[in-house]
Amino acid sequence: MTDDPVKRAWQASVEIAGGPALDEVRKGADKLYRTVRRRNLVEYAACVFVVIAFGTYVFVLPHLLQKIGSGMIILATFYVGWQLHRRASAVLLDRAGTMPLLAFARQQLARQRDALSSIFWWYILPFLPGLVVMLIGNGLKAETVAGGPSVWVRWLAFAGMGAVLAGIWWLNQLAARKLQSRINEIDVLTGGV
Amino acid sequence: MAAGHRKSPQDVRYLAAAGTYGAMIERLARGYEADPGRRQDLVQEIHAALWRSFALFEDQCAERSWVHRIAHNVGVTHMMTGRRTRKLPLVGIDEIDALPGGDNPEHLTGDRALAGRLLAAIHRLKPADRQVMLLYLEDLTAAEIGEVTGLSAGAVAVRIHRLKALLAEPYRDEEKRA
Repeated sequence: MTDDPVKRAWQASVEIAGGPALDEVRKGADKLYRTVRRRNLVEYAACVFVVIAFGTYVFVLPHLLQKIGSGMIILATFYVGWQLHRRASAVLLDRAGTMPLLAFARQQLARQRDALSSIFWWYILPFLPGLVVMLIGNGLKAETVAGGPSVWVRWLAFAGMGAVLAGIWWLNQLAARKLQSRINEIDVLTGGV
Repeated sequence: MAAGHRKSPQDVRYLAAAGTYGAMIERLARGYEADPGRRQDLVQEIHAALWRSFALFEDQCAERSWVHRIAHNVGVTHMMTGRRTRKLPLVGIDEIDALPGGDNPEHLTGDRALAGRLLAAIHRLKPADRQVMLLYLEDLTAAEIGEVTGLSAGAVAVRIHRLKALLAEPYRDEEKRA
């Protein structure tokens, strides 16, 4: 026990506390793992939705380019899902003991920052070829052109899609900058950089 | 303990650590969560993370540092992702002039009251300063605090200096009143 009266008062606030029973701890650890896995699964559920939707388009849409474009989007979704897992999946704290708290926090923040700042390359770009091929196919299909909206409306829709993707990119850059400022704070505290 | 479960080396290490650091984990959880119900969940989460972590523990550092790192990481994650109920913004240790509750003479005496005032101050702190204060109160040395947190020696020294001044304040007030 310490001689310092303040530390003594603090330590006396809880003096005896055993851990929960081992079976409970094991169950808690399983629950923790399940929670993390569920969080990751939610991210992949969106990918599954895209695959189902565009998988249907492969069979339903009339023009070959539309089918090819849909297939390319499905491939892009698998690639993005894999990248999402690699770059941004939730992690367990099992390895947190192997390094100081701030080093661990910095590692997590840097991982998130890198995922956000490079989002164009692994999240946006993979979808672009498929989208472009689909749009061309859509434009080439005579019946679609005749029955659908006029060309300038199609270009407007195309521009709108581009604006949404640019917006996603911009929001992610803002978030990456916020993370960078937190990383800078840690670097000051740890005397790094 | 359910029949059929033999204790692995991981279980044995965890049980020993839970016995040694159980009270510290409870105090730490108080520092990260004010609500008693959610605090109990946090304690369980810390124990679960600690048990899992012992599968990886190979004396890379002192066991005490390991336990503190795991527990604080779970605490900070809980604090940053949990339900936000705080009304005041979190501040640095240099922005707290005195322990809360000092204007009430009844608060100046007794270990329990002092622990309550310490807790009120801890709940106002940003994560890095909160970690230093909790570790300091657990009687870790400056070098140990640096090892657990990764703060530079200078940053630890500045915070401990400020903490000592802050924690001496109740006694200065008592002397003034005497």
